[in-house]
Amino acid sequence: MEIVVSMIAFFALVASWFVLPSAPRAVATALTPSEPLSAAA
Amino acid sequence: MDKISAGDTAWVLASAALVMLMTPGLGFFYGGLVRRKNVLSTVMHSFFILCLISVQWVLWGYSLAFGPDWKGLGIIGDLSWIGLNGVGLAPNKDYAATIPHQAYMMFQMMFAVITPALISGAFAERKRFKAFVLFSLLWATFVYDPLAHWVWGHGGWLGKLGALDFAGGTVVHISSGVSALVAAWVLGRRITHTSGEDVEPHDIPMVVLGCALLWFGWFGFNAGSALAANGLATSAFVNTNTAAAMAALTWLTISWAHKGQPSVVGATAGAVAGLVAITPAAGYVTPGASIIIGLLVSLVCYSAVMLRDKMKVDDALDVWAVHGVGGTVGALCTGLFATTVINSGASNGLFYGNPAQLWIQTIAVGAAWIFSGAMTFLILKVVNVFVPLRVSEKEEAMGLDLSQHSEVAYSPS
Repeated sequence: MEIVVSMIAFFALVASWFVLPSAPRAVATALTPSEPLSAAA
Repeated sequence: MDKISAGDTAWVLASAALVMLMTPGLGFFYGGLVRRKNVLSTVMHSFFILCLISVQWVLWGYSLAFGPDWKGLGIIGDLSWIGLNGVGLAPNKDYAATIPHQAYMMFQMMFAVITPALISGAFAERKRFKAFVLFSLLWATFVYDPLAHWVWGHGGWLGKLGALDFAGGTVVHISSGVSALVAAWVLGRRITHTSGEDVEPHDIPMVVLGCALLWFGWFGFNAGSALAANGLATSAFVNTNTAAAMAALTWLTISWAHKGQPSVVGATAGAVAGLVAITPAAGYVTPGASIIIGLLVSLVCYSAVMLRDKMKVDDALDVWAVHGVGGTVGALCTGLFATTVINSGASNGLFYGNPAQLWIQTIAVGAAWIFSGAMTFLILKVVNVFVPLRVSEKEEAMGLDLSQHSEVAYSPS
């Protein structure tokens, strides 16, 4: 029983990573290499 | 029930902890070698794999690698030990007669963890995190687990053939090194590599720290593979330190002669190459042989780095040159220098009157190269169907720390 629940929990976690967004895009895409990091603030 | 040895159990559990430390140590080693905008993503590769494979190993990885041989083919274990079903606290005589079976499982888990983490150095600075996750899970299941069964699993075909691999020259280093080369080739070169941007290491003290942690953990990796607190463990311990030191001295000297300065990064690369090469041989050879192996591996791996420079494959942190080639040198040297004076349960090598051992080692090396290379190519192609392997050019230019994790390693304030 524990093994079945463990398997389901593990695969649910793995699957969720492919549904969840990659990153807060508002922050990530606001920056370019030439801009200072403080631009994120 | 067999009698459990307190000393052996303590040593194997401590060794498992030592090997566990190698993976975050590898993260520091690789993290220092990349540019500052990619250090977090690089460290994360190692840390994340520690978590991911720890669970995979308990659920099905250990059963595939060390479970009862499936249909007697010597290819893979069956699923009867899934979720550690039947893997208890009594010793398993097929693997280690004096320690709890779960202690052996735990020790082997740490090998399964670090091996895919080693590959991450090849695709540093450009692989999409989601693709990395899927690749690592598939690679551990379809490359590491079968290969571990071939060599170390009860009934594995390479083990039955007589291949000697004390702590993972073929299973860990050739598999990860060759897979790294294939991954770097499939992913393509970093955009900065083609635009001429400086790709020098951003934090060399971090590289030295990572190397030191690797070296420290490697005592568990190799001496722990004796699976007992005994003379064989001591022999492996001595050989590990000796080969690492000799290889570091040799690499330093070659790079000094080649580039005019005694490189700090070169010394660490040499130490790691020495540790890699002595891994398959540690429990079979004399200390004198470990010095020769240390010398040889730096000569060969340094040449491999120069060869990689000429190739159009961007193996970012030279995983193939150090682990793939270094593991090959170590596996073949085991076929030369192995002696039953050190390990009465093994075989002699060519220099001790048994040329057949070198042939067996060559077969093991060839099998590991072909299997891991082909399977890695296939897995990458499958992953690419579901998740693009690379980040976009914009994300790569921004750096993976921000584009993949929205964090920065070093605060500007």
